[in-house]
Formats: sequence, C-alpha cells, structure tokens
Amino acid sequence: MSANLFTELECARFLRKKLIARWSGDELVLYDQESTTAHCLNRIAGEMLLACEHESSPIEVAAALRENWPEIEAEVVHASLIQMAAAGLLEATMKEECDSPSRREIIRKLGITAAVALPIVVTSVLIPSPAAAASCAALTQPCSSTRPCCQGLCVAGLCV
Amino acid sequence: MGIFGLKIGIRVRDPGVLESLLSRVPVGWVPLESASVDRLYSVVTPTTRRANLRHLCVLYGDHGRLTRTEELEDLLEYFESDLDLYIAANSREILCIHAGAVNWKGHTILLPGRSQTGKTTLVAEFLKSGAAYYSDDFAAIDQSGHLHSYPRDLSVRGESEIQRVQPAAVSMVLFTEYAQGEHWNPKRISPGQGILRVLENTPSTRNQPEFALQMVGNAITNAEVHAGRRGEKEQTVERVLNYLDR
Repeated sequence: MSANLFTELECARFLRKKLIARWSGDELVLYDQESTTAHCLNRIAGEMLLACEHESSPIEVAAALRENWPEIEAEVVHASLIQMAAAGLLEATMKEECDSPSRREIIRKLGITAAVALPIVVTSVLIPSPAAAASCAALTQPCSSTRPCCQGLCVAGLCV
Repeated sequence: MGIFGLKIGIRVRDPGVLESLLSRVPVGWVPLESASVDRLYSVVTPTTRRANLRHLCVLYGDHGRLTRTEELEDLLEYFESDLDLYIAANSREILCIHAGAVNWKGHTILLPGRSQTGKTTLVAEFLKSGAAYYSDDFAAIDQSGHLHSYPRDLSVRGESEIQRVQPAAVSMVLFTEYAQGEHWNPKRISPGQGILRVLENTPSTRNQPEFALQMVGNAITNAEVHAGRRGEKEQTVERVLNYLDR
C-alpha cells in the first residue's frame, strides 16, 4: 500500500445514520425515518455498517471486522463504505487537516475500482404513505387525497 | 369505542345511521367511556327533505371533511375504508398488511400487494380450489406473528358463507402481479428482501417503523418468500398448490 493511500484510509471517516435496524438471519433490515426508505444488507455489509458507530476510518472498520473476516482489506472496506454512503446509510466526512480536492479524487477512484471486490448487497425501497399502501376507490366511489382512485380521476370527491 | 387499542368516537345527527356505521366497524370493538378519542368521525345526514334541493350526507374525520355524497351507502363505504386505514396505520395491537391470505392444508399463504394487482382475483381462485379464507384486502398479524382474518362482519357484504380458519404462522409469501402472456415461474428471495417488500405494503411502516419491522420480521422469518409475474390465475394457483403438495 502506498503512503498516500494509507493516509487516505486514515483520513476518511464514516458515521452511520440514525436507523432502525433488525437482523433477520444473515441480513440486516434497516429503516431510515428521514428518507422513509427501508434497506436490506447482507451479513458483511450489515456488520460493516454497525461498526461505524462513531466516526470510524476504513482502517478501524476493517480491524473490527477481522474477527469474522480475517482476510479483509481496508481498501475494500473503504470502497464498500463509500457505496453505503451513496445509498444514504452512512455520513461520509474527513479529517479537516487532510481534506483536499486531490484526496477526494483519490477516494472517488478507489471507490470505483474497488467496489467490485467485495460482495456487499444493498437493496432499498421507498416506503409509501399509509394511504398509498392501502386500498383505492373504484369508479363512481368517493375519493380524496387519502383515498385515491384505482383508475380515472378524482373529480369533486368522486372517481370518474 | 375501543378497537385494537385505539379509541374511536362516532357522532351522528340521526341515531338511525349509527347501526349502519357500527356494522362497518371491525368485529371485536367494545364500548368505552372516555373524554378523549384518537379519531372522531361525525356524520351529518339530512333531517328534512325539500323539493329541488340536493340532500347530502357528509362524513368528517376529526376536523376535516372526508366525503359528501347523496348516497348513504357511499358514505358507509368511505367510513369503512378510512377506519380500516386508520387502524392499519396506528394500531399497536395488530399489524395490518395490505394482502390477500389463504390456507391450504395447513400452509398459510400471504399475497401482499397494492390495489389492482389481482389479489382478490387470486384469492378467489384459491378458494375455488378448496383453500380456506383469511383475507382479500387486509391481513392482520398478532404479537406472536400469527396471521388472522381481518375481523370484518362478512354478512354485511353477503359473504357470510365464507369459512374462516384459525390463526396460524405464515408459511409462504408470494409477491406477484398479473402480466399478459407470462407464466408463473417465481424466484425465491431471501427473508430480508421479503421483509422489505412486505413493509412496502404495511400502512403502519411510516408511522411506527420499529413496531412494523419487528412484527413483519416475526411473521415471515420462517416463511418461504417467492416473487415473480404471473399469467392466468388458474395456472398460477395450480402450480402453487402442486408445489405445496409435493
């Protein structure tokens, strides 16, 4: 590992957002109240996310994961963390003293090249409003913003 | 009244309307004496009839007007739908999933899906093949993860001949919608992915995410989850039942 890259892995910091989480077997299901989005992560991605309890560097996260994944590399962890930050699960920051455009560029490139190296799985769905997750009104039935029409338009409170 | 841990108030101008309204409330409500309610419905119906005037029935939910219609039946439909949704989004005693559900020889099948995805059609086909009925709209999950029929008074809809079954754990979850020319050839998906997709069809997810996540997790952790487009209902149901009978 080059000295530059080592510095980058030290500088990057990741903090997990406030999410509601629950393990289901080997998957971690999460809900983000802010974005009303639910996510599903596989085991390695889930543990990686949970390791970012404080502003953690990729090196620290990799060290925490080595108990279960002894071979894991900080560069690959870094790329995965960037991927999870892009999915809105983590807040990515960096130490002020090493923040520079060139450094950001290195991280961006690292993210692109290393993202394929680790089999993390992130699936996300946007949770609809309660009304959208429920029944709609049939033609000629009363409708409103909380009870949309199944087809046609809601005109003067009736589906036409 | 008290229903699934919620306090619901109903106020009417004409006491004769009350019985019709109560017949649309899920079975199991109890009268309550309380100075406050979680949601108040008010129904204003015309008291006198005059020629050349429209006589409108108006339904309010808390302070907002929900609907205004000449037909009381339409108002009752709206009331039922709004109350179901309110319970589904706010109850902490049961979790309501927008789903069809049937039981085949002890296997409980959950069919989550939005309106117009063919849930009712598929449920009807399962029933034709001899399955027992839980739900064609809302399925209710209790604290132990067991699936119940939504406690609707089916006689109101002329469906009193439908036999309900005892609460049971969910054994299979099917995510499907009709697509012309397709054949039912679903892929098995992981329980976590299944939880995600059930949450999409759970009205309380946004209001009570912790509760919804826990309840959905309890309900489907041990279930097989399959997803895929389906063609004709007869072929789909036959394949599902053959799979369960294997």
